[in-house]
Amino acid sequence: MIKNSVQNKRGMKQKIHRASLACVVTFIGLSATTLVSAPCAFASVPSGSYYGYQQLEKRVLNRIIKPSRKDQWNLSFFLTRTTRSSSRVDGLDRLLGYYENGQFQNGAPNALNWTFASLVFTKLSQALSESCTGWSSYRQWFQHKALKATENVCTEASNSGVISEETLLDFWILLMGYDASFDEFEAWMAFSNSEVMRSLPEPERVAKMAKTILMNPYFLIRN
Amino acid sequence: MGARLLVLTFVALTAMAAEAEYEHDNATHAAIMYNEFQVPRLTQLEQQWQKRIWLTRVSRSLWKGYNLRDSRLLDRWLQMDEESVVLEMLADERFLKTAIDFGYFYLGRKSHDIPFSWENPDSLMLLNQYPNVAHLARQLESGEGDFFDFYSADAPVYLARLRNPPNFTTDPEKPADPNATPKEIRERLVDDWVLAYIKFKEYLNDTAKGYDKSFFCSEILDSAPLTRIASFYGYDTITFFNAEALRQPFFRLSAYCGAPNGPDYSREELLAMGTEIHSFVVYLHLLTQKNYELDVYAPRRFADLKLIPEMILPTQSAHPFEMSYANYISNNSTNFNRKRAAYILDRFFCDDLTPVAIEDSGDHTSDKHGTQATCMACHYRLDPMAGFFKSRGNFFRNYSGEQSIVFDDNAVLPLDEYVDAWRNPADHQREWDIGYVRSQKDEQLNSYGETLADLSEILKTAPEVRSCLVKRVFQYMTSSDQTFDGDYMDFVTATFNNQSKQNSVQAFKRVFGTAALSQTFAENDRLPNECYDFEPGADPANRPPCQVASILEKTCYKCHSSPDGRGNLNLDTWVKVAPGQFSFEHWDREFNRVPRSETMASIAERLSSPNPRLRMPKGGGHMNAVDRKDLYLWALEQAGIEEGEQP
Repeated sequence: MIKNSVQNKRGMKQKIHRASLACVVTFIGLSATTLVSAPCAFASVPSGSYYGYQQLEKRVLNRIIKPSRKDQWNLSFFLTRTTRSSSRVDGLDRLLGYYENGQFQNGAPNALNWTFASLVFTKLSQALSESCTGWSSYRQWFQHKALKATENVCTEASNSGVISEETLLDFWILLMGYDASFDEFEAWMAFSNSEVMRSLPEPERVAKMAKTILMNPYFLIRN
Repeated sequence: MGARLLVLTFVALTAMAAEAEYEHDNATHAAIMYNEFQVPRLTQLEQQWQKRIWLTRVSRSLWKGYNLRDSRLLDRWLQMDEESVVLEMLADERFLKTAIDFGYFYLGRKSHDIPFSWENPDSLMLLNQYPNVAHLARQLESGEGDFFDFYSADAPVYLARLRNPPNFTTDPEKPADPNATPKEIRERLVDDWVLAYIKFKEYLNDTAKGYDKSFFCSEILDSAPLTRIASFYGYDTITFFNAEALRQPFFRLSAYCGAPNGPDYSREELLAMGTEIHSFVVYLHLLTQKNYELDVYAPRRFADLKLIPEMILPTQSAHPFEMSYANYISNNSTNFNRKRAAYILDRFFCDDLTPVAIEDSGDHTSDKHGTQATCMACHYRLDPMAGFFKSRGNFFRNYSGEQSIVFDDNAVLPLDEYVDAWRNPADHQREWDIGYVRSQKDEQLNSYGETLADLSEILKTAPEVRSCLVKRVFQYMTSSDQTFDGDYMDFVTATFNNQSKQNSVQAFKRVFGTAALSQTFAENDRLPNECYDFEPGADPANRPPCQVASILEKTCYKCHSSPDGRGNLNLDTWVKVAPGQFSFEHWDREFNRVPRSETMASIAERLSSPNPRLRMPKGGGHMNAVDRKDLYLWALEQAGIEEGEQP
């Protein structure tokens, strides 16, 4: 059963991957010839859809952002933070699924919204992993337990170390909760301690660990 | 042009970079999946993991987005069996948020954007627009009442909370009098209206003088007092506008004077409207006299909701689905209320009107849209349902008793002419061809009526509505495109019906419990076409696929349930006919096995044939439209599956 479920999720990932690739190829082709933005609707459509911008924002907010910063933070915060402004990225909610007149719109993953999701969560992961450097401009935004769990990972990850199960579990639960199957956690745990990951500098390793959780279909996509 | 190229190139490159990164992650992921790195098992946690997933999911579903972070609660629930956990959740007031959200979902509006909270004025406003959902929440809170009030045409309408007390401290119309008390200002509003009404009445009653519409609209009709009344009560006073006594004539007069092609009214009709408004203002005056203060009303529990005071109860109650009709489902001069009918069939009968041709009756005496056999595939159900709304025009306003009806596209038609679309010939036993039609051939099977109150009665009692309700709860708890075994759905519906005889509110609650305890809900990676729950004692082995098994059993087994069944087709077993390929047992006249695709195509053809000699089921058996559609679409899909492909 568990194996099947992993295969299903992997199947969905592959579908998304195929859809994305087809869209990119189409996109470039059409861009070069017509200079008109290419619709991606004809790529194969995965059966799942995003939880939607609001739900994803709420998840991140509840799990790692300080309640006192709730009103200043949004999902695109770390994306725009490079310019020291925290304005909302217009249209991001529309890309990641939104409600209009009580109906859910644009929830199907495609190359463009997948790219934006990737950018958003890459920035978020990097912001979180800055805790490894000892000083981070983002500390004030994260809950204490988020900083603590991340710092524990950083400490154990130093000098290409193997991170303990307990530390990994804390970090996984911090971001994913119990939304994914145990197999997913095991796979991620093995990935986090793999040779490839251990060869990376700590902040980069931790950022990738966080991003693989945040880009996991169990985090992003509902059946 | 150059900038556009730059942007496009950037987006394409970004997407490619993301692809490359994803590819890398995926490859790494795949490598470690196969034990590149051995990880010791977290045995104890693994054992509890699935239950933790379920608890997270069930708390989020039954307590509407509740984030299970309370470790004491989690620890306690981990020690309890699942049924006890569900019962505890259903008994908690947090379940009401889910019930409200389900109410919106059931009515076709998803509300994840505005979850219910007593602290959120927007969510209170939303709830106030759906009085039947508020009533349901009130019943669930108390555990008593009748769930089927949800469909009542005269369901209670509750008074909206006042977010801000009416600002009676200053009258913007008369700022020179800042010391007037709220009561004085309210009385002044009434006085202003009375003066306007006297002028209005005098002009219309003076038949010796000629009538000039533009003069009447610009000089005589003074809607300012009414506008001021509304503005004083502000945003939260939508309940006042639920009072048809005020709203209907107010809107009609506005339409009369506001649109060049608006409806035309006689002096008597205009006078009647003025009188209706006047009677409402008199109610307001009575409220003032009795010192009825709306500004102290801010409920925190559903039990504290107040009904609209009896003295301002509308002469004609708002319909429970009014906001759905008015906001989302317009009625233009060509759709003849069919959008509203489609809404009812879809939401409450789970009938999305997928056209499957009907039996050709040979009666094509009219060129009217919907009388041709192909059109009638939908219209035989749609048109009679639309008749329940025959007097409802734009914004769901009731035009009964008037000469004309105005539509949402501002077109105007004589009302008598319009409602003739649903009038039966004079020699017919029923005046109206209005109702829920199950069979075009056998009227005994249908439920007929005339008014919206009749429609409400049908919704309360129709077995299709009960089973659709159960299906909607399961869809809400899992996914809208999830398949459920028909026999299992029938079993849950039968349980709901039985329990409803004791307490329908509790029975409704238990349907959520059943859904939460189902295997479908517990499944981590559901496949939309698979069923995970079956009737107790059922053996799904060798059974036809669950999407259609119960339909076949109900309507086809009579003739096709053995190897020598009619047409040499046996529909009660699902056998392997080739490696990885399943089908029904089906032989031709020489007893050669019929290829699977032909069997399926033949089933689809027989279900959709308008020819009574070919159409299935034969022998007078009745198959409801939804079952026919489901079986037809399934057979059509199966017919298209390539040989050797897993069905």
